[in-house]
Amino acid sequence: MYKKFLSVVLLGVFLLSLSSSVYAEKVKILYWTGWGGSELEDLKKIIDEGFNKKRSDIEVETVTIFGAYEKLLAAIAGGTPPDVVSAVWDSQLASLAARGAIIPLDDYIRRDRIRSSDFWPRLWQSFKYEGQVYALAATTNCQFTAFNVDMVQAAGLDPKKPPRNTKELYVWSQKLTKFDDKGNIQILGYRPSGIALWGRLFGGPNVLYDEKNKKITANNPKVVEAMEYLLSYNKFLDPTKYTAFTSSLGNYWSPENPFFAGKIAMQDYGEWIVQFGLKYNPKLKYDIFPFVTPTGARDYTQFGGSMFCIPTGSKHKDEAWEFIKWITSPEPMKKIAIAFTNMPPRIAVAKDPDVLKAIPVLKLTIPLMEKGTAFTSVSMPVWQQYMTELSAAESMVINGQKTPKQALDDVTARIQKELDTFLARQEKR
Amino acid sequence: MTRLEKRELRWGIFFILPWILGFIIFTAYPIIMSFYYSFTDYSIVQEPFWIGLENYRTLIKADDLFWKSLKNTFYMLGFGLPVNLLVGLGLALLLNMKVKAMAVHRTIFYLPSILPEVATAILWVWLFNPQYGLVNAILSWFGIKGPGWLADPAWAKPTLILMGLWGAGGGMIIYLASLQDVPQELYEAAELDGAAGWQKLINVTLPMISPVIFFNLIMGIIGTFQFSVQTFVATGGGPAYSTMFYGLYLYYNAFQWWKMGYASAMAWILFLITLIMTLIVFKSSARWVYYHTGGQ
Repeated sequence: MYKKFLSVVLLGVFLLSLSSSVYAEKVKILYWTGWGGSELEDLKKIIDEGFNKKRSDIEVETVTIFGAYEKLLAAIAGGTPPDVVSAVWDSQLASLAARGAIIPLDDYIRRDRIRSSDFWPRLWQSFKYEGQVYALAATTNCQFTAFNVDMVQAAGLDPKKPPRNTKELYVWSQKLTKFDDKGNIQILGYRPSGIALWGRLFGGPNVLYDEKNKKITANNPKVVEAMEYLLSYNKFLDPTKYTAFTSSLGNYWSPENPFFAGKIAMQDYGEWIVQFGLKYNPKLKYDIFPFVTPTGARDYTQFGGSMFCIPTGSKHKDEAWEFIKWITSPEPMKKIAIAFTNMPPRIAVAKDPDVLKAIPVLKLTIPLMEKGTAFTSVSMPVWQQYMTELSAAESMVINGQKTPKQALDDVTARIQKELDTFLARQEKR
Repeated sequence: MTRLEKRELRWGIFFILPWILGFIIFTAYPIIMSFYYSFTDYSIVQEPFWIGLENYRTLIKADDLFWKSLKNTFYMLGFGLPVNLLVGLGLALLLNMKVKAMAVHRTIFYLPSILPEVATAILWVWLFNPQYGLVNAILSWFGIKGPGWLADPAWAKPTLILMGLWGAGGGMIIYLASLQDVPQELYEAAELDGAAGWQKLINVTLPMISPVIFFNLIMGIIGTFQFSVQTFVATGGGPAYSTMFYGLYLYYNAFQWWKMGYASAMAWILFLITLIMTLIVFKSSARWVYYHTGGQ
């Protein structure tokens, strides 16, 4: 009797343990995204249907930190980062990696045989810092210049023959800019800005930084030349009037978007222009052309986007990787690309007929990614400060407080010192 | 101490315990740690790394932007603060007169100072827009061609001072309270001696409210050194660093460039400067602040 009772109890315990292993609770992982608004809704749907419903072991909780990106830093500092995060821009990746805040993914990538050759080569490079891969991407954006076809025609220019070099761009901008009788800007043709971009359009992708010798080269003659080019627009665009005009423009992410509201005739965009067009002004006819250079080379593009990475303090690193592996796989990538109108990081997905149909501008940007000179953030630990300094230098040049050479010399000296200090201290740690 | 006193002390401490704990955890601890961090290289995401006085040395010897931001801040202290104090006082004097519906007037002038800083800053950016802004539109009625305001490096700081006047109501309300405290018999005595309006102001009103002027001055000095919200929203430190103030530069270092150690050192230098300025004002106060309650 006693024995029988014991065996029943044991059997019961066995069955219970079995059932608990079958109905094991899902591991919940926390994912912080930088997307907001309708993109966030689309993303959540794709994750719920494609991952959460299909995986019995992992459940992803998607939380947005749109507009409050400093939270990530605070969470990392507090030792409670999310398990996986994509609110990290290409410009921050090196900073985070250099400071040990995110983990390298090489072991996972090797184990699961993710092939780098499936991704755009230049993009894959941007996942790396000092030879190790720290992120994968589910989206990216290739940039180009867009123009308003009707305005171009009205100005007597041929929309079939967009500018081929920096000189022609200047002429187009001048012809497209309209002033009122007081000399205020009413419609802006184009004002090139961002010396980080233009410096590289003038001097090639590596002109800002000598990675091998760890030297800042912001005062390279080509960058100085680019700065002089930006300054040359002052001849017809008075800087105060220009600032007055730009600060009066409507919100970029709204139907008041200056390009789609007809306030700006030419503006730099990425693939998201397709989505903007559909949402904000489907009637507006636009066309695009690649960034121009002084030599007439027309294969330059700048790309960027958000990076999926795993913070060092993540409590579920393996599960986080499973999620990254899934979201950067062809099927969800395709869905996201069509929903957001982005450039898919995988070559095969970008060339998928459905994707090409949904995002016509890929016809221009795929060749740029494939054969062109595509560049992104420079992989160095003080890049963000470098960019702040560059744009301040640009502002000083445009406002006549420094000459291009002087401003860029100052940036070079300052950032070189920052970098040297950082590297020296990192070594001592 | 008697038993009763001891017991009351225990209860007293018990009742203020929430505040004491809050203060220790959320104020005292961060302050002490920031002092420690100021001697380290601390990027937030990594452990702090001891570098001794390096942050202080770099700031003082090798950081032009530090000096520029300090200069900009002293500009606000030298020009912005006096204007703000005077306007606050002027408003208070006007609103201390006996006219109809005074309560309404007082409310109207006080209201702006309780509005959120960020929202009003955005509003002012629009008003001061050189091309579409209301300010230049009004100026143009009188044939005046308005400047570029925030868009012009030479005008950006004066524009911020003008924007600051919008909040003068905060100081005004304190002046107003003390103006009502000035004993009427002093005015009567002054009138008997033949004092007119202006003389009464100089010889009666100002000395009697000098403790409040003193208070507003000290708070103004501290506030000016911390000045950052409006510039962060309105200009981001531009154009050409003309509105890069100390508080804003500190913020950039801490939260944009991940140099929390460096920013902590900046905070302690700021504390020292504020302390010295306040002490100077305190020392001088013996000569011009009058406490009519008999104390010093």
